[in-house]
Amino acid sequence: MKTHLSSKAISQWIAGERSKARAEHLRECAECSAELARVEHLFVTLGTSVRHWSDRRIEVGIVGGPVPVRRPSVLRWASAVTLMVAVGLALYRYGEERPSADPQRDALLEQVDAATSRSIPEAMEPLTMLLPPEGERSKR
Amino acid sequence: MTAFRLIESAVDTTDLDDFDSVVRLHWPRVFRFAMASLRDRDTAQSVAQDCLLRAYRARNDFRGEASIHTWLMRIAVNLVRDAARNRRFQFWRRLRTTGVGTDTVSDWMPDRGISPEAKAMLKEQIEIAWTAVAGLSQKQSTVFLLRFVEDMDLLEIASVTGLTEGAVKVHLFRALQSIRRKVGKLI
Repeated sequence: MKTHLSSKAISQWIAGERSKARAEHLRECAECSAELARVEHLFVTLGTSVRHWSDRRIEVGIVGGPVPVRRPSVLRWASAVTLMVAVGLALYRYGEERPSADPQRDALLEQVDAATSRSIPEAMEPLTMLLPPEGERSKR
Repeated sequence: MTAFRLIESAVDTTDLDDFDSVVRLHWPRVFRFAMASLRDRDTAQSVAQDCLLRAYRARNDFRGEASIHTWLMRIAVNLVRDAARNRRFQFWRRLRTTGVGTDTVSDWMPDRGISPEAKAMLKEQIEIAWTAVAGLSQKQSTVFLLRFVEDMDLLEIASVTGLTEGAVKVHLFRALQSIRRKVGKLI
């Protein structure tokens, strides 16, 4: 009866512990050589996968190799300067005081402003004369 | 030697006098090992930078007994060990739910015309195995990653880690057994 290689013997073979007797057995026994191939394939595939996985960390551009520097072109500089000048001019023009073209509208606006800034109605204003000044009221 | 190692060894002929080329060629490999070991991008980046800085300072002591890659990996292994022991790093690692990003290792599994069922099963095995690697001892994890991620042979691993070839085999065997136990009946 043929004795197959044990799991331990297969691991020893893969780890480099090899003998003539085992080599002969592996040549003759299809079952053991298939088992060895299956186990070796797992470790080789694992190694390849780890290699690709690690190499991917370099490929994503985070480590290794110089990072390419993008120099701005003359056209980009010119566009940026033009945009800055245009924005500056617009802000300057907006801030300038312009004379009013309609005196009636200005007078009306002043009236509205005076009315809305009163603390009490106009008819009640004489009553405020009877009250003491602000400072004295707070002392009481 | 696999195609991957042939390509990588072809770029290992750089002279140390041209340190810019050394950085360009070896930074990704050092970073990859640190990333796989620590699973934290910022710490891995810091380790890779520190590794190349130390190598630059010690470039006059490099006698060419080993390849530049082996020499750099030796420095990286020590820095990774120190970083993993760092209490602050351990605290932040515990606090984080994911090391980096939202993708997992199994999302990067090579897909060479296998059936959807087989792919789903392999993806599950990869996930469990990757989780199991995190639970290995520092030495077991280092040896395992150098063997299967960096595709180094046993003598190179011995040179990088300062272990004997026999000790490398023992640590690798224990790592494999531990991972296989976790994966369980799936393999």
